[in-house]
Amino acid sequence: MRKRAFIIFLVAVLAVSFASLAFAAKRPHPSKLKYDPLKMTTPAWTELAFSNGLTGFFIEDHEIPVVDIVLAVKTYFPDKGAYGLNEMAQWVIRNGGTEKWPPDKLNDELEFLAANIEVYGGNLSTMVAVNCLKKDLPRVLEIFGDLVMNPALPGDKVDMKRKTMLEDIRRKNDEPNAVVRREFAKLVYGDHPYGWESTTPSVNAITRDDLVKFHSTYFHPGNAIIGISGDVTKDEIVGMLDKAFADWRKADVAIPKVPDITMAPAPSVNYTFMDINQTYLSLGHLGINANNPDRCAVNIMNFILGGGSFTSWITEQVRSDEGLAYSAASRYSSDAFAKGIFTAFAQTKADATSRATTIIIEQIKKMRDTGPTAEEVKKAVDSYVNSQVFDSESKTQVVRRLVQLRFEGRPLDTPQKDMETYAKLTVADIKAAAQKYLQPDKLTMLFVGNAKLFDRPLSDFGPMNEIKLEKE
Amino acid sequence: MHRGKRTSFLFAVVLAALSLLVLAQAQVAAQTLEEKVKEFDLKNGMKFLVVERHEAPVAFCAVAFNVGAANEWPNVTGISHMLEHMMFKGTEMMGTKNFKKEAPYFERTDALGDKTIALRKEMGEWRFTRFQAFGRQVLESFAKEEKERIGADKNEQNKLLAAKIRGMAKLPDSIGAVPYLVEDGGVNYLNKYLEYELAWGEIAKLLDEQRQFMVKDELWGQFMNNGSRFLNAFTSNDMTVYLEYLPANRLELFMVLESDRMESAVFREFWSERDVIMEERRLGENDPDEVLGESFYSVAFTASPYKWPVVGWMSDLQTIDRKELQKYHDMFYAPNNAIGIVVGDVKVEQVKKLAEKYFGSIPAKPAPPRLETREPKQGGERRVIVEHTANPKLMIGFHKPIYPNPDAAPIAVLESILGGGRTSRLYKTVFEEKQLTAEEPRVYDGPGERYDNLMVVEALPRSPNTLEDVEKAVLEEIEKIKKEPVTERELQRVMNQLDADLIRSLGSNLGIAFQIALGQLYYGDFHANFRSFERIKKVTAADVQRVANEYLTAANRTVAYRVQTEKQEGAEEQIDEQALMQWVQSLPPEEKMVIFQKFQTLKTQAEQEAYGKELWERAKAAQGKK
Repeated sequence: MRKRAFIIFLVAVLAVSFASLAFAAKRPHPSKLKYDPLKMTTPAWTELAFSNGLTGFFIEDHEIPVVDIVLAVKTYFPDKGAYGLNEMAQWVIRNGGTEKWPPDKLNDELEFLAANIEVYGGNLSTMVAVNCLKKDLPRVLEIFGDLVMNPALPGDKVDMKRKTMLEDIRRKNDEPNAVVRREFAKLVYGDHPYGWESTTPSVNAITRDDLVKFHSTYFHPGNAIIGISGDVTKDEIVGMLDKAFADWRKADVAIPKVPDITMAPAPSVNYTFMDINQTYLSLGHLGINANNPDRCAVNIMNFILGGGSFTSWITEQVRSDEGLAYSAASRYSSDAFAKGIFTAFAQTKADATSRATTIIIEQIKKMRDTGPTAEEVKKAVDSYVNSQVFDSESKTQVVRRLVQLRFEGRPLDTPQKDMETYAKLTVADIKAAAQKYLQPDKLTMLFVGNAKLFDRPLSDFGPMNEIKLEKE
Repeated sequence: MHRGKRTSFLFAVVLAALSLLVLAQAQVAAQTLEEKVKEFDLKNGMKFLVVERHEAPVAFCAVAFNVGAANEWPNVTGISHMLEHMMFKGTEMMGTKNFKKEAPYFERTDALGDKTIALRKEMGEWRFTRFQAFGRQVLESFAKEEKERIGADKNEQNKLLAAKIRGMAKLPDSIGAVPYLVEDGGVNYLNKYLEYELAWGEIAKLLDEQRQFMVKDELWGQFMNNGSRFLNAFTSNDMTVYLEYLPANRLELFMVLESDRMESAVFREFWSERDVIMEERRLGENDPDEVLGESFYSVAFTASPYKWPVVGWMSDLQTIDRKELQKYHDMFYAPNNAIGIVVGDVKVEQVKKLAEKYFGSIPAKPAPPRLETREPKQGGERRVIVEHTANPKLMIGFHKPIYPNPDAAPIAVLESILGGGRTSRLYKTVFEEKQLTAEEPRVYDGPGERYDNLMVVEALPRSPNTLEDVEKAVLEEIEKIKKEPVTERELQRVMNQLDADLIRSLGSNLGIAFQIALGQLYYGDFHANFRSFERIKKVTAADVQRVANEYLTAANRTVAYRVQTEKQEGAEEQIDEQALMQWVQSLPPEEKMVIFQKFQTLKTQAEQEAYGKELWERAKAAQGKK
């Protein structure tokens, strides 16, 4: 008996050791992994204030011999009849050069130095971005200053840009993705400036005088914010900028206010014909203001609904479970001056249009009526909190964010404060946000595709309004 | 969101730009980076490249397999990219609550899936398309109560579909009256179609059952919840790469999950993910630039596998099954055919320790077959026309060699002088002076970098300038470079820019990772990049002129035009019904009778509309004659 017991014991021990051997060869499930705490540091930044009223931010960074600068100028110009002025002015400022630096000489000098100066932006702002090797900084700053203060805005470059903008308008319906984005914004924003677009008449209406006025009205130190990072000390860069911008004088600038959005969301079903074998669909309504106190809860809510890629409801149901689309997700954007946009979207094979739409609407309703589970909220919050380290990954990124926050008139510690908010969010917060900020009964719907191939008529979703793409 | 992103044109451009930048540089910066790379091999042959960079507590991590669309063959084009999608479906550990209970479902589902492929082949595509359209009509005709009862249950839906069609006393003429469609040589093909739909219903049912044992997208979820950014994967002609940018303390997560899926990937949900991939292909079909690029490369190459698209041909996507995918995986996904890359706030020793622990136990496999086919010399210009509703676009390509062929360096310089920046030849003449294009023409290498490829010039004519105008102007600039040597300042500009770009890339974890990974994958040795820099540094104006004369010839050229067809989207013509009626009334009685009889045979609204349009075209033509 004893012997038998011993054998049983031996077998048991062996079994355990084999099991543990087998187990050791396997990998631990990731939920079992323990991580050392992460040492997170936000690089220290310095505020800059020049005597002419220009302000900004600076971070020293000696990793590579490169300096990066961005100058953000507020250039909101609400004239629907001359829409496109920002785009044209931005291009002509850069490509028209100055009296001292005519375009060919300017380009030759910068490209020989492998330095970049680019002017770009949207309809609220113009950015002048500079990136060059440290050794060329004085030379490049001289050009930068001249371009910001004294652009020549030559008529031939105005004409050239006008022609390419008209060509862009001619090409604007070439690609369904561009069509759905543009037409959806027009539907949601209506006649608010955020719904405007360049048209042939508006581009033709812009004159060189408009550009001169654009520059002389907005390009003043008090209306700009500068951000610098790179291989230079504060004293060095301040001295060089003082020199490069010695002639930039203070002036009063009155920037018009972006109007509030008065439009109330109302349900509508819209259809645009394109001869394609998929439907590009977008459902949504107005989003929130960036200062909305519930913004963090809205972000988490949207992350679970359709913003968090494969683990979000819309993507999982439409793409992964049913294989109806390659791309299916939602976005809930905020805007510092007016309101952002909420959109759930997919690109689905034409004969799954109605099916995909129905699933998406169900998910939005479920988010509003039932809400997520505590586990879903925890995972979404973990994702936000754990990835915050990437917000300070590079010094250039930190400086650029500071410039943006100042530009938008928001507190500079917004990201840190938001992170504290995220960590405290509960299921109840997310449910409340869904109740308040999702309106499944008032969705603006847009379908771009070929209705003849759809699985069900769009009238299932409500009276249909056809939007014809104008040919320009 | 972009998991499963395959090489798009944009990506090709980025790769080309990166590799151009890899191909040249400041000796100082190159040496610094070369010295910083720590390399080690595991016993199973897997290589790791590690660069410590302690700027921020993050680490860019990737596993790259030395396999891409160029390793495929007819019947399985697109399989590399398909495999990349399926690698996110979990393993024996991830994505399951109980793998043992789950396992039997794979065999059962595969049998049904293979049956659908076989049935579809037997029917032939011409029959299948007609049956499918018919099936859709019958589905639409289901009564409201039937639809409500079925809901999302595909199995119930398809069973009812089959029952309804089988119960039809007479098939509609659109099916029944078509010769050889339903029956041919004693075989009933409609029956095969119904079996096909029933099999799909059963697949859906089995998947629903299997889902009780599954944890959806667990692998992805783990990376996400742990704060990963740039979580993604891509497949190109040359490689397949899985990448995760992680908080640096999550290095072990990368090691566990990537080694786990290298060793024990399980291709769950294969039969529905296939649909997602086909949707991705359709996205390309609706993108006019991809449509042009696909035709361009398929004509420019005759033997080289660079001729087919990374996403594959639709007919191949329809016939690859799970077994085929597993075979392909087993052939190429071996540790000895992969490299690991870690760049960021890590210690090399710690990377080595974890790599040995998690990847070290994966057995090596026989070396995968390598591509031996080479593109033969082109013997005359090739021209391609693609008709599209989108505005015109031009692509011109010239065959050229890659490193280590010594001509690669002067060609890289030539490309930059032609198309790199505002002082480049094409920018200054074609875009700025002659104002022929909507934007500056682009010059890049395509579609891959591992085998001999093309120097590509692409341009968008600005109306009213034509494709011919732009082609002529581009070729004129190329002729100038052949006749007169480029200037010393142009050469120096290229060298300066390549130097600066290398320095800039050192300021980011991704920049560093791409530099070393591409070198390793293209040339089998990341040091080769740095050797190629030295070559570029030595390029002279005479070298550039020589390669321009040798490679940029008409006989070595492929030109593709995307021409705009009349039918502009949205401008679907309205039929003037009154005018149409008047025209019909004006016809002789026998013709009226023919039209009347034809209408009798048209059962569906779509068919009637199509015939109406046909008549309208005739009416317009008749009016035009008057």
